Amino acid sequence: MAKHESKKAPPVTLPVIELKGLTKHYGHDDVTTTALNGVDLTIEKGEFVAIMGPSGCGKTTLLNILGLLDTSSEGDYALDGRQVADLGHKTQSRIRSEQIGFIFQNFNLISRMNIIDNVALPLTYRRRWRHKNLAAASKILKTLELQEREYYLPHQLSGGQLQRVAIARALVNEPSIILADEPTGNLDSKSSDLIMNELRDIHLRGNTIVMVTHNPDLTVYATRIIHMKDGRIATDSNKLKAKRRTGKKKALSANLSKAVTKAKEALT
Amino acid sequence: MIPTYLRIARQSLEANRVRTALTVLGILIGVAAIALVLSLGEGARNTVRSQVGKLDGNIIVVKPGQNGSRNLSAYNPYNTAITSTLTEQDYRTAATSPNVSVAAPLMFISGSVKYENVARSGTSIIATNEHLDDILQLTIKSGEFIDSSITRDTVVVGQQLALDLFGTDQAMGQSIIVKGRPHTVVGVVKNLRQSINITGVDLDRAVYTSLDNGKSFNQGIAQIQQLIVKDKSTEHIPALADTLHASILTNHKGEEDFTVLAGNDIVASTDELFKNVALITTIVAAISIIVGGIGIMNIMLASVSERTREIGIRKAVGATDGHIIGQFLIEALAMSFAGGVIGLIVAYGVGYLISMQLFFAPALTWQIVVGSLAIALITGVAFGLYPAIKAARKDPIDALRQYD
Repeated sequence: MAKHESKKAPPVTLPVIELKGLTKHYGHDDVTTTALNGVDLTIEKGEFVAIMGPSGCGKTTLLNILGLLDTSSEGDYALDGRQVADLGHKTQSRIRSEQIGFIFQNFNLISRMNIIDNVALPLTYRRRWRHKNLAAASKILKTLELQEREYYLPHQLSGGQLQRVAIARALVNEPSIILADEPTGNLDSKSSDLIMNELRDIHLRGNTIVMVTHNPDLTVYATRIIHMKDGRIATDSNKLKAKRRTGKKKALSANLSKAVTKAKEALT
Repeated sequence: MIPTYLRIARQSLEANRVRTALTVLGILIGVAAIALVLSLGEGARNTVRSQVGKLDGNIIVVKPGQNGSRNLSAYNPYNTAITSTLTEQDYRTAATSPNVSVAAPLMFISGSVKYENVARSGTSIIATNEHLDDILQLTIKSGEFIDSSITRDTVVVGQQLALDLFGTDQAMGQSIIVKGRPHTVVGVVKNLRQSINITGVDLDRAVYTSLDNGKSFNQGIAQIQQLIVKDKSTEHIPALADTLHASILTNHKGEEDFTVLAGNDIVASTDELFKNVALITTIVAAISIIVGGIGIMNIMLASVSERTREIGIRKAVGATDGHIIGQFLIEALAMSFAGGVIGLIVAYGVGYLISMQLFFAPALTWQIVVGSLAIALITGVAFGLYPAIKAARKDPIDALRQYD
């Protein structure tokens, strides 16, 4: 990151998400509120980004725009190098079903469908055989230790189990990006740890994860932490690191030059 | 994708069984009504056709009024009370025309038929001559048909009327009151079991009397509503029709106030009547199917707003607008198709019950079956499309936000 920022060298990893001056207004005429106010953000493949900030700072709006559920008012959003604004509705839907996995705070499962059908839902919109879809859903439920609950209805499961179902649904289409909005918001700490470990495993398998959270404890799982405030990015751990690193370098070289001059003085 | 839609439709329709059943009921009633009306019309038409076919096709019917006045817009409720333009002179002209085998005048007299002071409703009094049984191929069960040689105050009754009046068809010699005058029953005509025939009245419940007697009810004036002429052979029918037309026209001094019908035209006039009746009843049935369609739209709109969150979830995981439209449209179609199928079964059942009462069977032809199902499906699409589009237009963000 620091490398190509400073020297314009080709990036080592391809950025999955690239936002430039992203702005989102709500409302009409005089009564507009600005949820996002010029967000610049580049997320590369394999990052685990935690987005933090107070309520109403635009975290969820940002996540919805990243997930193609919402559109920005101004600014550019490039996903895998393609400008999202140029994509048609159908293409956006296809990207949602093939590349993006959503995990919501309130699970968002369809209550009258059983667990396995809920998990297979993203696959049903990809014109595949139902038995194959169910097999894929079953497989993913097994890895989340929910195989005995396949034919239960959502209301028969606990919150932690439901969130694991929601994760299974987000993973079933093998997405490259997983967007999680307060994934542990409604859960006790034990379930919460279970979920976070699951997300870390997914991350270690090479997936990109963007997670919105209130809970600072969860940031230990992330590789990058972004704080938002009033629709802007207040701090970004990547940039801090980069700054710290360049700051150290400068200090070091300053020290070095001081030492060199001192040595020179001493020699002469 | 269709099996998926069907599965989703089944799930959501099963989740609201009562609501689904009521919505299906709306369509069911409409489809059953349409199918029943059309099949009754078809059945009636078949009966008339088969009867005309039985009469060897050598019948010519002369009716008062102009040809064009058959259609509904020219319908006059006083027609039955209007003085007929056909006269006894016309009857004589017809009967004496070359190539005519026999001719019978039909004079319908309005009035009651009583036995022991009990009147029977639905009874027609027909004043005619001795040839009618031959022309209509009526079978005499007992006694004889009316004969000009026997006294005026005699009647021949239909078998069913005899049963209704006396409780037995052994009615010979019984005395009944026709228009206030006692008459003796001299014959019983065997049931024809055709409530629809070219005379337009139920012959099984008719009282036949001589034309002279009929005239005596009407100040001695013959009111001939219909002339039925039997040709010697079928070959001359068109020519004979023309001859009759020309000679009656001369009688009427060039006034074209009558109609000569031959062959298929005889059926056509009843056909026309059935078409008109069927048209009106079909309009009524169509209204009921529209009401059923509104029911579908109502339920689908309720379903869409209840399932806003589901729509949001589906969109979030990759459903296109087309997928959402498909899903809700299939749901509406499933209800209307179910209504159509059950409606046809109901129409068949009710038609069967009706056929036990009437002497003709409703004909549920494949055209009616296919047509009714098509109407049901069109209703489903027409009234399901708007809710489906409304569902697809929902913004996923707003849809997901709808909680509780």
